[in-house]
Amino acid sequence: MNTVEYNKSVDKYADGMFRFILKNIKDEDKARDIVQDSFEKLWRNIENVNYQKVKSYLFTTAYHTMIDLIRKEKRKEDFENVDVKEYSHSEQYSDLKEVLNIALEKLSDIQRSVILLRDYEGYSYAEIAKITDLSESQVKVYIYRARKNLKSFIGSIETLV
Amino acid sequence: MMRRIDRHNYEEFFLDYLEGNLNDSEKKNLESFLVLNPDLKEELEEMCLIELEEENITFDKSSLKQIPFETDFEDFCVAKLEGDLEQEEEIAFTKYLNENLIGKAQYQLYEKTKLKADIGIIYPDKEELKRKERKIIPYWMISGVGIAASVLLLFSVWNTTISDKSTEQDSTKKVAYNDSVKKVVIAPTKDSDRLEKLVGVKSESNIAKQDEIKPELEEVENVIANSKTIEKKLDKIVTNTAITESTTENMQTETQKVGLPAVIKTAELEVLANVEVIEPKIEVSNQKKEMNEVPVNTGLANLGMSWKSSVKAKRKNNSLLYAVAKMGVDKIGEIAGKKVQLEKQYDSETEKTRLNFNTKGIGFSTSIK
Repeated sequence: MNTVEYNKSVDKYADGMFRFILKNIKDEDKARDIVQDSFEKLWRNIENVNYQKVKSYLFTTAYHTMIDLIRKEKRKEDFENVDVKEYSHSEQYSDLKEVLNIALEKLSDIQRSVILLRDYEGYSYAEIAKITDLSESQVKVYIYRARKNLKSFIGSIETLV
Repeated sequence: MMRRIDRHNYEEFFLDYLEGNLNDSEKKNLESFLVLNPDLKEELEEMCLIELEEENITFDKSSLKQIPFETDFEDFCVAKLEGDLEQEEEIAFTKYLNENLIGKAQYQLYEKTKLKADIGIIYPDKEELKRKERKIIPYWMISGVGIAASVLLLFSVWNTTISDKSTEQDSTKKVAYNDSVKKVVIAPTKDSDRLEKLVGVKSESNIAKQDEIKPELEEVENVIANSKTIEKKLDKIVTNTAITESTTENMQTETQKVGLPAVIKTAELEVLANVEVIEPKIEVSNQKKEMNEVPVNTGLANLGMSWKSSVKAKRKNNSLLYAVAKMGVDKIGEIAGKKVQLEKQYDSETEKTRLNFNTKGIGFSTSIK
C-alpha cells in the first residue's frame, strides 16, 4: 500500500470507524483517539498491508484497541443474562431511533459490537469473526441474541406506549 | 336350520329383531311367540324405547398436527432478517407470516431492530490523519545553505587541486580580479627579478586589492591564502594593464616553458544569506586561451624550440569533473526539492566559459576558461 492509498483509506473508513467506536464507548474523545491510533498503526505497517484488506485491518485494529480500553477502564459488564425488561421505563420515546439507541446500550459489549459491524458496515459472519477473533458460529449466536434482545426491548416499549 | 324361539332364548331374538337381523319366517315366529307370551311383548316394547341419540361431539384435530415455525419462530424471524434462510424455507415462512397476523406483527418488530448508521457522525480531523509522500533527505542536505556549502567545498577543492598542480608545474601564474580590468601576472621568484627589470613597476594596486578580500568560507580563504603566498614570493609584480599587456608575450614565453596553463585566481567572495542569486563574487580566470595557442613570436620559437600544451588533457578532466558535479548537483536539487543550478555558459564576447552555481541561499560564478 502506498501513501495515496493510505490517504484514500482515511477518506473512506475514518467516519465508519469513528461511528462504530463511538456507538460502543459513548466517548467522543476516546473514539477519536482509537481511530487515530488505528491509522497510526496502519501507517507503521503500510508496507505490509494490502489496500484490498485495509478496511478489515482498520476495523480489527480499532476493535481490539477499544476492547483493551474497555478492559482497562473496567467498564466491561456482562449483559448476557440481563432481562431487558429491567431497563424498560415509562418515559415517552420520540422515535424508533432513540429507542434503538437505548436498546443498543443495554446489549453486552460483544453483542453490540457484532450487531454494529453487521448493520453499519454490512460485514458477513466470517468477516466479523475475523475482526472479533470469534468463530462464525459464535458471531451468529451473538447476532441472534442481540436481535432478540433488541426486539424484546422495542416490543416492551411499544406495549408500554 | 331355523331357530325356534322360547322363553329361554327370546332375548337373542329380541336383539336380532331390534338390529334387523331376523328374516321373515323368524319375524313371524317372533310375532306368534309374543301373542302367546304377552309379558315378553311388553319387555320388547321397553327395549325398543331405549335408543341412544348420536351426540355432536367434535375433536380439535389441528392440535395433533405438526405446526411449522411454532417452536423456533423467533429464530426463523432472525434468520429471515439476516438472509440465512434457504429459498424453500424463505417461501414457506413468508407464507406462514402472511397467514398468521400475530406472527407477522412479531416479525415486523424484528425488522425494526435493523440498525442504520448515523451518517451525521463523521470523524472531524481526517486531514490530520493523512500523510505526505515520504522523502529521504540526509540531514546535511536539508537546507539550501548546506547544499551550497557542500558544492562550494567541492569546487574549492577542485580549484585548489588545479592550483596546486599548477604551482608545481607552472613557472608562471596570472592572478586577476574579476572586478578589475587589470591583470596581475605572478611569476615565480626566480623569474621575478627579470620581470621587474622588464616592467620596472611594482604592483601596489593589486596588493591593495588583495587586502580588501574578505572571504567568508574557509575553503576560499585557503585558495586566497595560496594566492597570497604566491604573491608574497613575487615581491615585484607588474600591475599596470598596459605594462602587463606589453609584457604578455614575454610572460607567455615563460609560461610555455613549462607547458601548463596559468591558473588565475580571483579572490573575492561574498556570501550573502537569503539572496536569490548573488552576483558572481569569485572569479577564477584561467588565461588558458593564451596557453592553448602556441605563440608565433615567442622566445622559444626564436630559439627554435617548441612547446606542446597540455590544456586539452585539462579540459577533458574539467569536462568530466563538470559532468560529475552537474549530475551531483541535479540529484541534490531533485532530492531536496529545491532549485539548485549548476550551469556552464560560454560568453562569445569575452570568449570565456563561466560556471554558475546558484541556490536560494548562495550562488557564485567562476570563469573556467
